[in-house]
Amino acid sequence: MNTKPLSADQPALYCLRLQGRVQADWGDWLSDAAVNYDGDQTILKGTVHDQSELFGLLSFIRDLGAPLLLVEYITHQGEDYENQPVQNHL
Amino acid sequence: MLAPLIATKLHLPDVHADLIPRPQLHQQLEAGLQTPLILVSAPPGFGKSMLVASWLHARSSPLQAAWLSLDESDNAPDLFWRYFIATLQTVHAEMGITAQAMLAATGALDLPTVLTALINELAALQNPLLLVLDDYHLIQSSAIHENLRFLLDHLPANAHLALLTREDPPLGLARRRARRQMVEIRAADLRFDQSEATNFLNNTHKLALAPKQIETLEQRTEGWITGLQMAALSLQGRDPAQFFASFTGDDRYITDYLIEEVLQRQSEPVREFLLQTSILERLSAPLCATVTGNLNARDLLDVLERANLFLIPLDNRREWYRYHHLFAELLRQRLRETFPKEKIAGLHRAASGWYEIERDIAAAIRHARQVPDEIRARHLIERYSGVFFQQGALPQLVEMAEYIPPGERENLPRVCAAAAWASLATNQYDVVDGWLKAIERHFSLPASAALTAPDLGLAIRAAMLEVLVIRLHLPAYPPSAAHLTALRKQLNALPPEQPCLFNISANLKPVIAYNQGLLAEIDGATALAASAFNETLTLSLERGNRFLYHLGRAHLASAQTALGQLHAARQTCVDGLAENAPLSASPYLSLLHACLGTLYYEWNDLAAAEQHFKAGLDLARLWNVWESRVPLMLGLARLLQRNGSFKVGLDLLEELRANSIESLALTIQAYTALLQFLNGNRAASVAWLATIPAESLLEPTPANEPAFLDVARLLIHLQRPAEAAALLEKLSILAHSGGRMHTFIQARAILVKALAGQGKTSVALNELLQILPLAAAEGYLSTFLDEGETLRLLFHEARSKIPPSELRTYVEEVLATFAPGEKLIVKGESGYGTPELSDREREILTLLAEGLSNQEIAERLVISITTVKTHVGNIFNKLGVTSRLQAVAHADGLGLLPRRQFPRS
Repeated sequence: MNTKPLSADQPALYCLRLQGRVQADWGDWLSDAAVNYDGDQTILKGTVHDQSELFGLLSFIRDLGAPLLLVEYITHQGEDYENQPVQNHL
Repeated sequence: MLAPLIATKLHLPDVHADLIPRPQLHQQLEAGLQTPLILVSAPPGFGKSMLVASWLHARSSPLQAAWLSLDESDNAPDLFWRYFIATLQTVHAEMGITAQAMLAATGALDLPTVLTALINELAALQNPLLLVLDDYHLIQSSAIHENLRFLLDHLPANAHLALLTREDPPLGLARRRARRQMVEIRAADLRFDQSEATNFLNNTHKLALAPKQIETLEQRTEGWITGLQMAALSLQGRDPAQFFASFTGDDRYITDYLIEEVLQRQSEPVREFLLQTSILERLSAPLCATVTGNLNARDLLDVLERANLFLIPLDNRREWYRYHHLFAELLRQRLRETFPKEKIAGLHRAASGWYEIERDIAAAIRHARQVPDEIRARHLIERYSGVFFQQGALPQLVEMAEYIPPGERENLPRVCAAAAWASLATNQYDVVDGWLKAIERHFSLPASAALTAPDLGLAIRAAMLEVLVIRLHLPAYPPSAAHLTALRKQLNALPPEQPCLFNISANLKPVIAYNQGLLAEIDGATALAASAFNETLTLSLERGNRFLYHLGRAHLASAQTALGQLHAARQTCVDGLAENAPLSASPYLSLLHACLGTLYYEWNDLAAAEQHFKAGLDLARLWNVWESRVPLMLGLARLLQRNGSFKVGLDLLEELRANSIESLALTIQAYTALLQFLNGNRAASVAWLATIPAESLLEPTPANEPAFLDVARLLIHLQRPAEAAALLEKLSILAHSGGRMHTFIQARAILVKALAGQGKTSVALNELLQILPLAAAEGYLSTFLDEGETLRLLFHEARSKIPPSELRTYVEEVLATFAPGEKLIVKGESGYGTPELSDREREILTLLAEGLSNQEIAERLVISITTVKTHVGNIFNKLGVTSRLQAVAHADGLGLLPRRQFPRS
């Protein structure tokens, strides 16, 4: 796994799970955003620039009114980051 | 007067001399001036504000920069934008005055319009201007985000925004990033690298740390500036080795560790002071002394400032400060851990008391809610709602009141009444009744009990009457005549100094005066109405009730018009407009414009009339002032009628019929029938006339006077002059008895025509001669012009009967004004060459005739507004006219418009 712990200023790959099939402009928040639906849940995966962007995204989700089921950190820029294709986590 | 904005929030932060220069970041910020947006987004403690402030202080080339420090209470859109504009005004005193006035008058009802006004002003900027919004993450209102997005999308080239925030705002950043429409500075850019950390610790703080120690610090804090700052404070005058031993060995989170280190290094009084004052959003010596009980507050603030203890001055006078946000949060956390709850509550209680004395009631309420002491918070709203009114801070009052859970509002009837008045004054009609119903629940009575239960106590009766009085303003409660009579009787029966629920005024006096005016107006006791509205002005001015004052003035003007005191009415309107000059967009003004339009129309100044009707209509639509819409649109329709544009007038009336109020329905229907006749649809107007019961024509009421004037005109057109004359006799007696000389003169003028139509020419002439002195005194013109050729001939006759005098001069003036209209028609019919209009010009002319604005035409034809203006200018030249209305009328007369139906009576 990663050699260094995640710091607040690093890009990182996250997976979020929301209640409901939520349509929104996720590309505004996540570069390489992948959106999938699992039943009536929305699974988002993509890279945030840093923690400020992640918290902006969480506020955005709060304002959408979509209950948040899960925020999962996957990996960040480090040795194995480049080898983590988004699809592998879906 | 507006709610006082807190000036310290508009202060560009000072820069500490010990700052590390960061030229690369300054360069990035500089590049941001080529884009609309600079985004500085990083967690707390990364030096966002300091970076931007130091860049602004260090810049040499001209840039006007304004700074706004936001806080949580700025989430009300109208307050946010008021601060926004006030901030702009710190560098451009004259900027945003219109937008500010619109906000002051209406709150957040139509922000796109307000912002458009602002954008237009920004577009005229000669030099670059940067507005910094610090702590934008505190803004959680999606309405504000949306407004800001709108502003950013339309920001002129010389205007720039910088947002300093802990989290990315939802402003479509990815799109802006991709289009290079913003410059971003993020945590990775802001963190100190090894060399900056060395510079900071060893040069600025003179700590002489070894490279290895600096590396440890840099790693543990991850270049986090506040962390390094706290570490530097802890290391001051201390053996570094000891510090690093515990620092590296401690596995608490770095902030907890460092704040404790910092606090332990302080003397007991300083530590206490820091913790106790951490509850304050802003600190001043007197406030701190009150909260801490420490009379040395002034000295302690100086100590904190000298020791770099994260105290940021908010003005140049060393009066107000705030703590660095993160530091304050850490202090508050320590406070919660180390102080008993009751003691913290005591601090908030003291702060709330201080703010109450300073009359910053919103802050007093916020601290009371943190105690938490909801009883005190509610008491404050109840006691000081009048202060909110005096300060014009009505949206804040509504916001504070709405914090009370709906189920508990009925326990606070006075707050409910204040909130109802405040919602009414800010045109939030839909919420007013909720507050009124809570009052009714409080007394377990319907408000109508005030009218039906004879043994109701005085105080309850006054409260219930206040509810009924407020409801008079609501479209959902159209009053019946019986209701109004009963209400007036009860209002009159109240002792003059009986207190009402809402204590803005000690009693209901101005409200009673205003409503007596309204009731008198509806009853047709117009002179009484005028004196009641005059009284309303005096009383509401005394009590500082701005809302009633303006409303009273508008109604006074309309009562004076009805009384035929046209010049006095004009003065009332002009004074009202002048008083409102800084608020040139206040909704009340739509009523004054309606009145002025009517006056200028009567004086045959059609251009001025058109201008006022349109200005009023814009305002009425903007703020949905339903009561002024009807007179405004009727006025416009009459203007159009004068020019033969009956169809356009009918369209206006159609719009009115669709969403009008019952009491004016007859007026609109009657005028519609008249226009239909003029427009060639005789059958429709005859059919409508048949629906009016014959007996009602024998019993006109003050409310249907305007409608019956049009019925009389229609009867004359239908060759039924005898019936018209009978109706007009009744009408003029009724109007005269109520002193409504405006209606009286109109009724007599039409009667003259009806009599002539019956062949009674000498009687007609006699009638005309009798009303001429009255009409001359106030300069009546259009009343006669509108009745056409018959009246012109009678005026010719009249001239020969009057010896040279002022009256004769007046008659000649009327005769002279008959002429131009006649010429226009002759011109079209006698084959003056028809102007050559291009297809596009004809197309635009047709749209002009439909009443579209330049902007709407541009949108319809998908061409630029400049092109539209050019075409319109060409059309004016070719037709030899100077206004849109003239153009349409003229073109109609020349048969240039596609659907020409132009029967003449």
